[in-house]
Amino acid sequence: MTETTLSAIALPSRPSLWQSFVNSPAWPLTVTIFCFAAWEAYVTWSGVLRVILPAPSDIVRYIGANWALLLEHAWPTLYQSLIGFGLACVGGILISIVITEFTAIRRGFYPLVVVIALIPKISVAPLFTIWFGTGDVARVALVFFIAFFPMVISPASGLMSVNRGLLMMAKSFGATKAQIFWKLRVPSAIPYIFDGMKVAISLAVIGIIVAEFVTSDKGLGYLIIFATGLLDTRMMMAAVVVLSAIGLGLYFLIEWAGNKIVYWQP
Amino acid sequence: MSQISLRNVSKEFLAGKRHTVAVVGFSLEIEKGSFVSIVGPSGCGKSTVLSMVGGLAAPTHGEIVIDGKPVTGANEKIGTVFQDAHLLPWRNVLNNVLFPVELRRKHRRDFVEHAHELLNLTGLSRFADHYPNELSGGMRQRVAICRALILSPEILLMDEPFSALDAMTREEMMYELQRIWASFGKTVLFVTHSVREAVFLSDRIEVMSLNPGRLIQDLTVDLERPRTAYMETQVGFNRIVDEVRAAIGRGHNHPIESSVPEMAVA
Repeated sequence: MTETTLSAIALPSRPSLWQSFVNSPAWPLTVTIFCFAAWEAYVTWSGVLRVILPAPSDIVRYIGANWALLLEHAWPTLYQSLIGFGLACVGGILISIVITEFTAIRRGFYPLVVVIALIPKISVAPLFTIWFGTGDVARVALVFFIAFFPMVISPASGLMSVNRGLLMMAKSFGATKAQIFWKLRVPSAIPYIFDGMKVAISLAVIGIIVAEFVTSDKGLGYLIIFATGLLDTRMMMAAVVVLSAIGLGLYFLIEWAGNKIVYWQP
Repeated sequence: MSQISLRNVSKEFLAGKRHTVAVVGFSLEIEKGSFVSIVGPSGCGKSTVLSMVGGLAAPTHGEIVIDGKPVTGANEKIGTVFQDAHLLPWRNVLNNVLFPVELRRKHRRDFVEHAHELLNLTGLSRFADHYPNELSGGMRQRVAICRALILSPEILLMDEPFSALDAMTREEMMYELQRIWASFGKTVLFVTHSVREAVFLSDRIEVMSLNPGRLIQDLTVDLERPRTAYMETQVGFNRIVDEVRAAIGRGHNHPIESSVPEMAVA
């Protein structure tokens, strides 16, 4: 009897079919498909008005029939968010270098920067239309403003993240301040810069949509506002789908580039 | 004439309001080509002595002279190996070894061959294009030794270089260091916690006391070279180990006021 009990405890049981299914990628895929199917079924049989809640199939069909319109409006959203994001990257990294290299500037400006960083950025969108007009400049400015702070904070912590041991090692071989900056600080900051870029790109997409809500005559944000006037929920949801695709696409592009460039991190 | 002279060297730190005396009245003459170890309890200032010789910290009193010139900063005649390998994770093994070449603004091509020789000597020739995260702790420390030797320094400073390694690797590295020292004939100043390691490797052993860090005994290890595993089991070797241990025991928690009662305990 004892023997059977022991072997029952000692032998790991083979994973059941169910367990291996849950651990496979098929499981989350199944759940996702099920959720969309439930949505589709609800719209089909509950009698809810499709004008209020379109089914997933309606949205897919709408995108198929109107992709030219959607692309036309996706383009300004894409390039304006990219310009704002690019400027935020360049400006943010430059400022991060200034504040990490010059203690007086860091200590003087830091409280102010923290306060500005804590402003909910989209609340100033209407103000930006007064300062920068109603054109592309105002929208790019808002994207820049919202994406700027993570592009200061992440690279700055990266530049200061250099291991003390590495610094001591470099100094023992006579490294100058400039060499320490280029050969130690900059490479150490690169993974942090990519982390900052991932946050900044998500914020940039939010920024451009809010800017387009406030003032625009094209773009996906404009399309959403326009569709609201028409009570066209299919158009709104189609715009949201395209916008999400843009956001995800840019995010994964940065992630992919980061993994290529930061080859030394496992 | 000795190659390294420490003349009545003291080092005090001011950390906040606390005034710490790390090293007091340390005098030592080191002959060219000799292997000298510094041992003593944790916190006795042995690493401080090493960093002052390496020019990474300036003595508060006294002076350190290398080949007739006072130490004022990192010296090209010195290669240092630290407790951790401190390799740059974004550089492969070869480029880590060549790092000091870049820092000293020399031509890389003049040193590539020497780097391969050193990697060969330490059994790393197959790993020249590997990255640090692909190496074991012992291999990384070998790379650090190659890096310290790349500019053919006359003096090698080693700050507990094997203490982060497991016991087996540590022993292996000890034999390897003896081999390297025998083939290059550098002056080595070696800081360690391990008495057996010190006896195995050294020509002379300097024992330091705690609070304050003071040199309390200078022992000559008159065992023939090369030293072997067999010698470690012999009476002569173990007599020296006991002598060093006894000296360290005397150096523990030495009251600051008293002078050094050399043979009081023995």
